[in-house]
Amino acid sequence: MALNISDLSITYPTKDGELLACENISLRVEPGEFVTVIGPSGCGKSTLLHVMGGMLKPTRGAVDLDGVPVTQPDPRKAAFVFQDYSLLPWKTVIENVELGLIFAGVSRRTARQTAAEKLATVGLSEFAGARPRQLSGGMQQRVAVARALAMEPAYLLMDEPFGALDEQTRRSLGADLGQRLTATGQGVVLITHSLEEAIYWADRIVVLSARPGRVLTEIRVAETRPRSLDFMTTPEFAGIRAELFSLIQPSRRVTA
Amino acid sequence: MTDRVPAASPGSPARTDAARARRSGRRARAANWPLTGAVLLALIAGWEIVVRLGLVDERFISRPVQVVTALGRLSADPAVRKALVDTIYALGISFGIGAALGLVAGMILGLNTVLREAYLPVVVLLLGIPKTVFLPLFILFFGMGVTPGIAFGVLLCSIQVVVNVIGGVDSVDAVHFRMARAFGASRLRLFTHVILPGAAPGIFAGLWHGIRNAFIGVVVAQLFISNVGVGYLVRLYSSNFRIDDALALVFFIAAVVIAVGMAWEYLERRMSRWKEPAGARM
Amino acid sequence: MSVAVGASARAPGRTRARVRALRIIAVIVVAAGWAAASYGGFASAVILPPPDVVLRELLDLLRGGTLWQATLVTAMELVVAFVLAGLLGIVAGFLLSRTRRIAAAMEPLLAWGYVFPFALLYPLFVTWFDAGPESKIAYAVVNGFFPIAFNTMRGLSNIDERYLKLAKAFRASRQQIDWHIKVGAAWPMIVSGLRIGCGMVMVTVVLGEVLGANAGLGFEIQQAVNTFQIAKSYALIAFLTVLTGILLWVMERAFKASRYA
Repeated sequence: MALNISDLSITYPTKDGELLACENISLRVEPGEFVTVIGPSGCGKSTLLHVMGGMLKPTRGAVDLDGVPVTQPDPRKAAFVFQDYSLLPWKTVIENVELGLIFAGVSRRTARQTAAEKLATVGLSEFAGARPRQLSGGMQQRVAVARALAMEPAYLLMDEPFGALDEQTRRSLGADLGQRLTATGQGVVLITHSLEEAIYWADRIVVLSARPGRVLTEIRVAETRPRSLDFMTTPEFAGIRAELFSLIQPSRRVTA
Repeated sequence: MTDRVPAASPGSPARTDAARARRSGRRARAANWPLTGAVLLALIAGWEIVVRLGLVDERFISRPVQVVTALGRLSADPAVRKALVDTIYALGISFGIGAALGLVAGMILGLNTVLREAYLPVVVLLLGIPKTVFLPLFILFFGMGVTPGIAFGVLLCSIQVVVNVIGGVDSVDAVHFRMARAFGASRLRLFTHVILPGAAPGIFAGLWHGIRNAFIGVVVAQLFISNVGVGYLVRLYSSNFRIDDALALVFFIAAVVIAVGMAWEYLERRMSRWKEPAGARM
Repeated sequence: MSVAVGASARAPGRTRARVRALRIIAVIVVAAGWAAASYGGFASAVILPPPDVVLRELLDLLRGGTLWQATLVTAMELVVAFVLAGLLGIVAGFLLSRTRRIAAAMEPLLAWGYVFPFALLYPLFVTWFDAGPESKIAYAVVNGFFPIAFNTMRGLSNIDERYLKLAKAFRASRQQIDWHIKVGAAWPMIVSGLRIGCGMVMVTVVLGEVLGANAGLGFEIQQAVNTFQIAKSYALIAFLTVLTGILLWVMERAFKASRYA
């Protein structure tokens, strides 16, 4: 079930007129692939992700999943993980994880079972009965990931999921989740502005230009997954990082 | 620097969901005054119609038209004018005394933890309970003239002020306080330059709630005990089945109360727009 | 942390002892002042009966039956009024929040109802309903309705965008959004409305009883004053004060427990 984006352009109106967020983006994500999208602030990568998941409509071009056009969100095909976790504070952790399944009409028992499995996948089984506010930021984000995984989607669409966390937590959470998701063969599209995250997670890095976002280039990362944190000290990593840096550095940016 | 694309080019498809959501969200926040006005008019018209149709006895609830006529009549009535003057006089005095008491007590309790721990529960209890229980005693102590109104107003007002002043003192940033003290500021300077400005929002809120409660206190006391003031007149009209006069007076007072309240909220919003962010004062 | 002085963080025991001492002193001063005022002739014994006389009356009342019967009437009025105001308020708030335009139109009206001095209408209520419990309940329901409806409507109309976005991403239907998201998100506001409504119901029931009733605790107070049993009226007032104080305390605990955030 490949995710196909063809010639996508997204415009939205603001109080000053129309704003072109992305232009002529074409992209193909294969099942089981980890793709990261990186670019300078405002390049429209988050908007792109939202269109990929059916939350927004493109102005031109199309998104399709396995040939079927994506016009509205379908979490069973592509499920979101948002930057601010958006866990419902009045529900317990397990109730949050099963939320999407309940919405989809799955029976309570099955939903609870699947939720418990996915919670185990992210390593938080013992917190099933806790409330989100009792968890740290990193743990809450893992719950959000479990919630998306519970839908058993072809792709996880992650919008700067670690943005609100400190550096240490990002790294360890990133390594941990990266391993767990690799083990399940999950396809992932991850938006980030962290160069390290983009390289560490990706089979392929898509680099966007400054607004309006266009695909500047795609970089393959050959190292097999799952990767340990040591990968970040290798020359290959440094080389890619240098390349990304020069592409995204402000003084070299393509601007209007 | 952003790219511009000419708006609504001929072939462009419908606007994106994000924009639509943004626009409708904004509309929801603003009030819909025309519709509000329409609903009000409908209610008033409904009232008039229901009574004219004879569904409810006119002697019991009167009609909007009659209430408006009564309003005109009452505004020329010297007895009503005197009652208004008496009420405002009582309000002024009770607020003055109540605010003064409240400020002093509030400052003392706010600044001294031991006293506060000892006596705050009593204040909070007094705040929560319906103080009308004490009204029968007020007749005994203060008679039926203008004094019970003033006294009850003082009671209600001072309690509000105390609570708000304590809250105001509590909200003074301890960081500013310690810094000033480290620089050797005297007690007086600490008070005038750190505590007073920091507690000012709480104090103003206290004064506002104080005057509202002073008004409630005065009017409620008049409503049930006094034989002076607008409260007394409402009671008089109500029990004599002069419903239109009673309603006219009630709506007039309500309109003043609501208008003053709205004006205050507007001022408060303007003031807080100019307020400095928390850390900027020193 | 507050700028207040006096408490020693280093010796909390000393503070507690001081607090206790201050409270005892206050009670003694008030009791002594009271006794001095009435026995010493500073205030007429008619309007200020001595504390021990009041205490005796209170004990008599507690042992007798009329006090508890009256308490029952008052309690019944409070409960019925609160339940009615709560149900009507929440349902009205819910219905009005369904459509943005209606919610926007009704919000000022509910806000006005909130600040409307309904106390002024009480004599009219007495004229309309006589002095029985129905008038107190009707009056209290009208008063309590507005803050509950206002807060409920406000809470349900102003759901955090993040949660609505989440609902969309996970394809929730309108009913699912109402049940799983809106109720939970609006709950703090609804509870706060119920708190205020509860307080208003209590105030208005007592107001009604004290000032025009034929049963209940307030009526007993009124009667005592009218028949010049002043000490008894003091005792009754003290009892009612304590009763409402306890109710308030219970209410606060209940509302605090129902919060989740």
